Amino acid sequence: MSYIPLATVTLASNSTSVTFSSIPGIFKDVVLVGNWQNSSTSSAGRLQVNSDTGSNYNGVWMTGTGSSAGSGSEASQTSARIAGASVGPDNAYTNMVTITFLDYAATDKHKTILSRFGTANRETQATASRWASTSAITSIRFFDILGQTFQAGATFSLYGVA
Amino acid sequence: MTLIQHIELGSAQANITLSSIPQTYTDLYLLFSGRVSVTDGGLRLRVNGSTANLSTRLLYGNGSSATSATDTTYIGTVSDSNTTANTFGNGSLYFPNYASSTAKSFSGEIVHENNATSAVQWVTAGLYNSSTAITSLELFNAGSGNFVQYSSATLYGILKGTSNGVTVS
Repeated sequence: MSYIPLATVTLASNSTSVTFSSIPGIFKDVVLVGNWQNSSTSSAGRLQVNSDTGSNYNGVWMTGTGSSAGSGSEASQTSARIAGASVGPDNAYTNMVTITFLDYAATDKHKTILSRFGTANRETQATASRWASTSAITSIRFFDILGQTFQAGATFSLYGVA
Repeated sequence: MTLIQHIELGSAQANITLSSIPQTYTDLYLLFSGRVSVTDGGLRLRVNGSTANLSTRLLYGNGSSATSATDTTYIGTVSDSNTTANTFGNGSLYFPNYASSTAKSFSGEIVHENNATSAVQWVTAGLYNSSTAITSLELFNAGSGNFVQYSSATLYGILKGTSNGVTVS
């Protein structure tokens, strides 16, 4: 297994979303790694692929706050849940996520998306999502559905797994 | 993704240390396989030779219940002396921007199993709250036991970059 760097951005200014485009279908999986602060702790990171805003995202998750653990699910959403309670720009903590898109280039199956999200002062979370489409994934958009912005200095990288 | 260092213990040892980590990569990815000689399989992390400035938030599930906790250096458990012989716990730690001059977040995950009667998973969010770049990582047992022979750790360096026409906006 090897990670092939495909694209990286370090935000020069606050941004409402990050989009990776023109992803070639030549790898087995792709992995997105993010490390950022939000404009507010009231935030919820989600993603869409191929600009699909239809009700094609389903998922389950488990989460721990440090004092309690929980699990839930969602179906027929217009985006996939990735990040939960996160940190704002007022302390040392940053959010971190790794998102793996399994068999992202396959055209004979729905796509599985696995993520691990956490920030050491608020929450750790694992999610498994399904994008209900047989289309190959060629673009990924990560955004905050509550309208928060990723703060300048945030880094997002996409890797192909070979 | 480049192999930096691989360690497989030839005999029991109190810790597994990856040192002299070069500062030439963007991220670090540590994979490990461990079993300890005592009944406490707890695993702790030391960064740059110290347990200071570390904090973790953990999620634990064993197939029947889930709990969450906070700690300073604890990152989960691996197979211990009570678990099925010759089984090892397996896990990973991912450190983005490990060489930066700001606080470093990391994520972790560990799984292990006992004789088909129980299985455990840990998911961890961590912070190394230091402006010092990470130059060494050490895994050690919370119960003062040893890692048994054949426990191992492999550290990879991951570079950022652009290739194959992918764009980001």
